[in-house]
Amino acid sequence: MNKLILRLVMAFKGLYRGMGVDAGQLEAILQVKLTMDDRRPRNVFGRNQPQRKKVIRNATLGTVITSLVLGCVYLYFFFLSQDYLTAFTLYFLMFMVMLSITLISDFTDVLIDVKDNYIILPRPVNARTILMARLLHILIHLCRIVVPMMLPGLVYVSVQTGVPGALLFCLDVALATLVCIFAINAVYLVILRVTTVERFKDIIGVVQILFSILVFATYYLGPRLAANLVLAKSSIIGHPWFYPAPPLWLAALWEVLRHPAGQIPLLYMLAAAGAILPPLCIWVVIRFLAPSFDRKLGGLGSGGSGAAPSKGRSVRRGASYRSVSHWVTRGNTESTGFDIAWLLSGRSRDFKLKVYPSFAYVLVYFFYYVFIGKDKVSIADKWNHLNETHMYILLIYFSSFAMISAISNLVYSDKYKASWVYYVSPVKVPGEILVGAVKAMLVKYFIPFYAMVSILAFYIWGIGVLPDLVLGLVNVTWFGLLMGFMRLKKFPFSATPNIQAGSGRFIQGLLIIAVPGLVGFGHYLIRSTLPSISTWLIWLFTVLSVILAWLIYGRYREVSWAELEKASAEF
Amino acid sequence: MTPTVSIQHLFKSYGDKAVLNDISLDVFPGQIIGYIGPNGAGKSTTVKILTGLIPDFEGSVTINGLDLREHPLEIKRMIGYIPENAEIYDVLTPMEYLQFIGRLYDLSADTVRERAEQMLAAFGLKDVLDQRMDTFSKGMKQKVLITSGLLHNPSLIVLDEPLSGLDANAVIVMKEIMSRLAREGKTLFYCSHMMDVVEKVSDRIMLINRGRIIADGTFEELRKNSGDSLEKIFAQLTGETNLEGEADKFVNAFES
Repeated sequence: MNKLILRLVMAFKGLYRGMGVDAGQLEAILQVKLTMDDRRPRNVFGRNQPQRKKVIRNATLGTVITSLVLGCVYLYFFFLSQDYLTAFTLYFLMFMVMLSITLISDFTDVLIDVKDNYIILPRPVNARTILMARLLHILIHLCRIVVPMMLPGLVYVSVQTGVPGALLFCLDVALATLVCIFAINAVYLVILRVTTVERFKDIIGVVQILFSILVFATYYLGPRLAANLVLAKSSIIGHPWFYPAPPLWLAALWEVLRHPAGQIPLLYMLAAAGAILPPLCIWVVIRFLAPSFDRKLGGLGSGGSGAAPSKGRSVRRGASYRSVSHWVTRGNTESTGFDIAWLLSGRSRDFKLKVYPSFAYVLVYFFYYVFIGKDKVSIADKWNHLNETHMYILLIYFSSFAMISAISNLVYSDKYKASWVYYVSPVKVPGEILVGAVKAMLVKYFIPFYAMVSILAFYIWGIGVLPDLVLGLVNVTWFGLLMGFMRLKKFPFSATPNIQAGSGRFIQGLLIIAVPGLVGFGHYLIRSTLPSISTWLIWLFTVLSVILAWLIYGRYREVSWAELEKASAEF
Repeated sequence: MTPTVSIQHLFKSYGDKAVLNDISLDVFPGQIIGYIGPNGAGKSTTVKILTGLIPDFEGSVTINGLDLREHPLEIKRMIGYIPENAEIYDVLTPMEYLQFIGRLYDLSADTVRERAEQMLAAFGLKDVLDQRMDTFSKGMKQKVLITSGLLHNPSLIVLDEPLSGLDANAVIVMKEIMSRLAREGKTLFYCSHMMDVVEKVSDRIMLINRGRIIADGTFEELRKNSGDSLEKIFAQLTGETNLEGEADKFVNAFES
């Protein structure tokens, strides 16, 4: 596909030459850039799957297909609402949110490729060629996402409303894209103005985390909520808080141009905003934002390493985690493991990207299962009857998946090679470091999260669920330790994320997932079939669980170098 | 006097490829050993065996009289290792990183803080003690790495290209640090490709090639037998006498 795109772009050779661009160099740069795009793991969508050993060859195709699928998903809104204004507003809302967030994370790779400064700038390439290469690259990149994303919508609209409607739809898409570019530019500039490059990447990381949560939540909850909205039979125009939203302007523009006469005045105004504001935005970008953007980008390479420390991030010394670590760990080695896991998990981008969303997933899953079912019952009704159910057990055991995710991601790091220090230092029992690290996960992430979950549970079901919550906490603790003992015989942040788990590991992993399910089911059986003595049973099981947790803990703490080596050989 | 390091008939192979082929050497307190050899000669393998990173080998290695196989932890405690191209958790600050390393050696937090502050100040890093290392230059990271290797006051110090990335002033400081440490009776095992530095710093040079020691002595002793600079001695002993010819071939590529 790249060859085709390249040939298409290079068809205008004469035009480029007229602009003072060296066509040969332009082609060379673009070819390399497109090839690199193909080999880059897709950071937004490809992240959650474990990386394959296979070299990445057709990442672009993946992006195109993903966009196409997303485009199909948006069609849902046309089936949901017969009112075109509402449907288009929701459609463009999704379209623009997805486009912006996809672009914002892609742009870090595409635009801020600091390597350009080292590789291309020292060569005899003129400024116009570089600029043109960059612009064309962005354009190609944009098309690869926008075109497949709009395709399903375009087909639908042209079938339903004919060619004029389809053309208007294309216009809307173009305007929407402009607004997105403006938004991204503005965001980038603001971020770059207030912060350094390294932190900038952190912020993009946060955006990606929010993005994955959003995608997940939309996928599970979106249709249900949207259906609820439409159940109320209201058109979008009845919701004034939607008026400042660009998607509504674009929808209004489509509606007004399709049926110019006889609309309410408000709609004309919104349509005008839709027609005028996006071009204005892009003018602002070209006139004001782009020049300072380029200057900032130019500064990125030179100021990247040497001069930055004066602006570097200071970190408060004697931080609070130290005292926590004294409280919950025994001995120096164990607290070392605790500290390093605590510090690095808070700063490793990869870890945060993989683990933080899983905490949100727990809640999304929970609400999904609560609200799923026959459409006739409204969400409000389900919510009101929630306290008569045993759904809190579901909530408790779902939360163990967040803990498992934290522990299983604890070993991976881009900087895995830095773990050489464990091997040259006199650590007698490595199990102590591992236990310390698991404790850090428990204290830093799980317990605060569980406290939140508990508050939610108390709010819905009242104080009566206290024994269940205590049993749940103990259970999750031993799940975590068991998980650690079976799968985490490796130092924290010491393995490359690219390793592929063997099939035996995979089955072990399934077992680990099955354990919380079985235990949770048992817990549910006790509560639902033996209501009279269930509270006593729950306390009894809590005691048993504490003993079990203690046994696993003791064993895990004794993991020796030999076991560690054996485990890494199996890895 | 017991040697700090005593290696007897050390063999190591990966598959059927022999990397170390009967290495024997004794190193005594206060010596700085320049351990040199061409790429792939087995330098790093020796170092990794010494520091306990490669546990399976043939032959015997004793450090301060302790057998490496029987007392790995005690020995690790005595060794300070500054690896080449070392990875470092650069999202941490130097202080956090050094605290982490210090605790792996059972040093108290106060001791680590005092030492780290003093050592890093000597390298001119006092102001960035509490800033994350991801913005640091290569040389700054190297300084932190050197500090992390010396923090626990080891008696045997193994350095693998410790000067890479350091600026000229830091190189002077580092050379001075090495000779002071040797004067205090510590043993330094110095691996490098920079012949001029090795020539000046080391008081005993060992040249290894294809897993064997092919020369061992002071710079003066080596000079008697072969050329006048360490570079030339190196070339002669490793059997590469026609290096100009190789350069010719490279440059002549333009003519064809």
